[in-house]
Amino acid sequence: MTPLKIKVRIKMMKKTKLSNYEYFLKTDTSSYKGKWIAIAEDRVAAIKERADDAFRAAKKKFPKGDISLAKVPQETTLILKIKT
Amino acid sequence: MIVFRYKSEKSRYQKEILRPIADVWLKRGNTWVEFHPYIDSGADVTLIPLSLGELLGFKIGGEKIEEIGGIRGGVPVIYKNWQIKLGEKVLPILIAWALVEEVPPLLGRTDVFDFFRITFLQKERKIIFEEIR
Repeated sequence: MTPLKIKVRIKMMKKTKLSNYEYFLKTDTSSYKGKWIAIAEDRVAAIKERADDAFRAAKKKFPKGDISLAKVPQETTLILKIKT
Repeated sequence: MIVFRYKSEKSRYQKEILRPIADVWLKRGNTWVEFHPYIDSGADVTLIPLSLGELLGFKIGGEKIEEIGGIRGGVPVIYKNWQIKLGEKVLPILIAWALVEEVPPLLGRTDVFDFFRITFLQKERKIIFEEIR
């Protein structure tokens, strides 16, 4: 294998895609508080008020991609928090 | 064994708060919809907001509308028996479908926690679900 081919192969290996779950865990979603986000292809594919709208918007962008949904909570939404 | 992870989120009170997140699939017609609820051992039942239920095909029909409580007051819900997938395991579970949008999606105890031995390892940022056979 030539050095060029080795370089290309290493570059391809480094660009391994994350699963939607891994991407969600790693991504700072604090700017989407109160919204639904749809994740596909290593990106936030749609941000909407409703889950169905987010899913359909992402499906339109990535018809063949795997799409996942998450709701980013408002700070006041989560029930159990540390008292201050 | 299924391993879920914690997500670091920003809180008004702390710079960072770790929250346990699941990766589950809900039945939608002949397919599944992946979503990421909070794992909440304090929630009696799995809870989903209005629009996610509508995406799954839930409709307000003849079922009784009940109220479940949180510290912020009551939330109207309809209970649905639905299929959920965790890893390769498909479970029929009870879901409380909130008739409002302003609730967090929660993976609660009913039906789900009966099938697994669950260990929260916050320091290691892992939640381990071991199937009980």
